Amino acid sequence: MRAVTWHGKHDVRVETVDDPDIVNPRDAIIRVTSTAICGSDLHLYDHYIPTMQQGDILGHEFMGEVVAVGSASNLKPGQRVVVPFTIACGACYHCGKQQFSACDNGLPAEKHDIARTLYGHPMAGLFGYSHMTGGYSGGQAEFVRVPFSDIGPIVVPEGVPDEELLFLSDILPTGWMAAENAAIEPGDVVAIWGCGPVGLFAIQSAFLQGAERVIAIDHFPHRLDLAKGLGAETINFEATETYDALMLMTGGIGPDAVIDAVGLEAHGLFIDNVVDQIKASTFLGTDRAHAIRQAIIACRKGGRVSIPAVYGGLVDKFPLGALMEKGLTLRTGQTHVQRYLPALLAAVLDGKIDTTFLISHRMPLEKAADAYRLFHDEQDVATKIIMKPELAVAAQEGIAA
Amino acid sequence: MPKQPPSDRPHDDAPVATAKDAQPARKLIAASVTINRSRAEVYGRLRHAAQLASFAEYDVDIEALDDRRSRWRVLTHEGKCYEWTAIITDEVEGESVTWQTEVGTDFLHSGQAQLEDASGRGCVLTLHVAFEPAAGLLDKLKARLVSLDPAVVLRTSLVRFKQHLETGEIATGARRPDMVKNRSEERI
Repeated sequence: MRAVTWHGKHDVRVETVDDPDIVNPRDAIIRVTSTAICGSDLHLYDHYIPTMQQGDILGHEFMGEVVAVGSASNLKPGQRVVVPFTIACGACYHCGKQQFSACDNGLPAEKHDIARTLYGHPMAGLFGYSHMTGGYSGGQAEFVRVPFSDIGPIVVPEGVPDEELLFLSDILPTGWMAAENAAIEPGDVVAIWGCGPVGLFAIQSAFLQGAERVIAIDHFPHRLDLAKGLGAETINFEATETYDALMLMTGGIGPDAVIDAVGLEAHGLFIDNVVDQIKASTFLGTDRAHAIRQAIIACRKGGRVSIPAVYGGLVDKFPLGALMEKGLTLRTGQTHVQRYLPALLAAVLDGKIDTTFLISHRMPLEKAADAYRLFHDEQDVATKIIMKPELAVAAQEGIAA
Repeated sequence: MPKQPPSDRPHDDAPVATAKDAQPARKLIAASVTINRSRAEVYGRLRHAAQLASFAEYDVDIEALDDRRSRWRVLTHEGKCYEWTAIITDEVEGESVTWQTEVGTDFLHSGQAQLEDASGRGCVLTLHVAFEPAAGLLDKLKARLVSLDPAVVLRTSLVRFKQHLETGEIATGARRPDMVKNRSEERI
């Protein structure tokens, strides 16, 4: 089959590799009809996430058709499914509490030690996201092996375009959980750093969960326009002093809840960002944490901090004093995708959530190297790129927006 | 291992295997895992020695000689073979199994598996193993590099045991059956 493989910093290729096959009884094999590049894939592209190996198949946002099942799967060949990016067993204590991304059993035992060393505990497995998260082959491929297929994938109806359903795999539930972790109360003002796909879905989710106002912060004009289109007020941090603006826009109180949808590769020419970049380059640190620092400083006293964004390692100059002294509540975590799928599928089918407005490009899987470069280099216009294995290369010349 | 009497552990109530100041001739290692299954079910699986081979780090062959004695053959991926006979010396149904190896076998050690209820989370399985440690720093480093570190082997084997009991299978990132490698080669 053809698959998108990682070979180093800014080096992804489309190669022919062996097809997947059933390994464990609960497996299924999915023929991928649509897959997307996630913002967090750029952390791999930039080689910020450790334990990648040459030839690893990327991709954790995908959907498709079931083509083979193991003896203990409850799926049937021919069914159309969207697959959560988290690999969870459904049987352990954490899955029982619907903390699927904390699953005890999704990660191969021989991969536990590095996560134990870095984080204290191993987490759930993830598709296509380094060997620390299991070394599972990802979904930017023609076929993918899906473990625990009786728990993860959700069967979706025929007749609804892939594009409306694909983001159930990650960014829609991630945006939803980001708003849920902000514990929004009626009348709240919510500030969201980052108007990428997760930030944009967090804006929609915040309004649906009762926010009166959402203030969205970014520096890409097109992304800010998309946020504005969803009803958010916007701050361009390159043109505006973000903290001062937030205070003036909230009568000096600050946002009731803040959401960091930026993560470990914060943009912007800020002193702390420059220092973080130097430290990352010299292996003295790993994450550029400007956004979360600013969010905590801006949040109102007694407010809530939600971090859906990805952080991988260590951060310094973290405003722990502000967190404590202001009595903030901080909630975060990889998304418990399986918890949200039924309700979010219903919301999509009922038209309550728009899942297609952010798609900027549709490309053949064969053009993955171009797609990654575009998503990395042109973030203003490339808001979300969908790749389809079946899309002919010739048919997309000129890339439709 | 039985819990140390308070007079031997003046510092705190922590398990003796985690003490920083212990300098015994034999090394004591321990690992525990919470398994979302009943104590009776876990105990039943533990007592079928031959079935334990599938959870091990290496190519392991376990032959039950009788109800209390089992013959273990472990082949590392470097091709080195270790053999020992384990004898169950004490057993409390549903609670603990204690064993030691026959003198003269390769990996001279003793061990104990203990089970406790975990108040709504199934049960806790704790393994203690006491053995002769690798003598020098170089040997210890080598053991670590080739994943012969008994503490690592103990921990990962317990994880696989838990996975199999809770999910019916052992997690692997392999894309195809023929890509399931020797597990210690899979280590990052």
